[in-house]
Amino acid sequence: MSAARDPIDPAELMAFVDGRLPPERARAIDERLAEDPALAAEVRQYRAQRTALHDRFDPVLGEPIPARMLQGRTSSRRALARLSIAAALVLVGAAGGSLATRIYLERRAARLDLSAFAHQAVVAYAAYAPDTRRPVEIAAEQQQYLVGWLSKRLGREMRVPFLGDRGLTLVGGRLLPGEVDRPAAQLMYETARGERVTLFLRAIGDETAPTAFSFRRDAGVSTFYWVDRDWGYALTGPLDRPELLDVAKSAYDQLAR
Amino acid sequence: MAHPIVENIPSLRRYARALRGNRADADDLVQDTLERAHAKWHLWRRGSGVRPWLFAIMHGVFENQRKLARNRVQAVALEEMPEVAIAGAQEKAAEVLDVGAAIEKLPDAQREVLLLVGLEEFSYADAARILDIPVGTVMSRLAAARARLRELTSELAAATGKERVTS
Repeated sequence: MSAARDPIDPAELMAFVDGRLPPERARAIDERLAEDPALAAEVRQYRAQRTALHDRFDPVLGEPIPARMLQGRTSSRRALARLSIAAALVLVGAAGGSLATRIYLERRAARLDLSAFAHQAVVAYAAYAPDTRRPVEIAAEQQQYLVGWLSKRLGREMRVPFLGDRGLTLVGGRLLPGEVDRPAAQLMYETARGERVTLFLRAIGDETAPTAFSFRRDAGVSTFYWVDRDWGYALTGPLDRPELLDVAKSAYDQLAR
Repeated sequence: MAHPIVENIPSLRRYARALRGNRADADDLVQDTLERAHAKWHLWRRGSGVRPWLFAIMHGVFENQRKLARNRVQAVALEEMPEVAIAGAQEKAAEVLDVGAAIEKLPDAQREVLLLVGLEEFSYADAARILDIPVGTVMSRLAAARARLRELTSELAAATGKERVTS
């Protein structure tokens, strides 16, 4: 019977299997299936494939995300390889006697590092600020322990800025991956309206002159970030720019070394 | 209000798991993809979808990994190809249950299309953009992948009871 008919265009058959044909064409194929059991079986099997794929792999969606994937930058072998290439370029520039090249590359590296740092802060904000159950590892009630623990892990005396006069209460903090040998910390604060503001900090590289505040805006959140000597800070939250800047200034004053 | 890249990690991991077969390779693929996405974030065009953009990056990373792997362990890879056992009905059923093992036998190019459309539910046009190939090629690879998968698991319908084969 079906031999008398033109074969169905394979692309159209695929669209039928995927439920992406306009109703009219889908009806036409339905009619063909009714009189062609072999074709009907083929379609059933293709649909079973779709179901089997979802059954087999959808559970991955519910798996907890490994912490390393929540970083802006990582310490994978390949990233390290890239870093050493960058370092080699700097050396080549120096060996070639091209001071300009070297300064350019160093500045570029510093700029990239700072923007990666800010990005890391934003990603960390996105990962933990919306968390209602466990936004922090150590809560503000144990502030002394929090400060001691983070100081130990970060290898430097931590200060937790008091931002109560800016309407921000400390929620707590957590340790986060930063760069190789440079773990990061995230301190979380909350406004009376429940908006969260985080201060992300870690060592950032060689000691440099203090930088001005830099600003970036990502979906719904603003970030002011700055470097004080060899330490980077990023303040992230869903506040207006002037409001956040005011908080950033207060934090800067308290953190300045 | 998670960052758009973070929001897409679960589906990137699902796709990578299906594409690479094992968890370690899959998570490495995701990791490299995320690194590249973060580095190129400023290149993402607002208004275009983040999800297809991320999958296109993953496709590029996957291509690179394949090139490296081809140069390194070609012979080993061929020998490690799992053979589908063809024996009693019990074994067939077990084999059918693991669609993961069956899709591993598809050529990479076919598997990518099959998964982008059949698992990640991208439109044909998005799949074409992600893989940087014409839509017509997407369709022909999709048809080829499904036909081959059907051959590989030809007793699928029988074993899952959707259609009894008279023997």
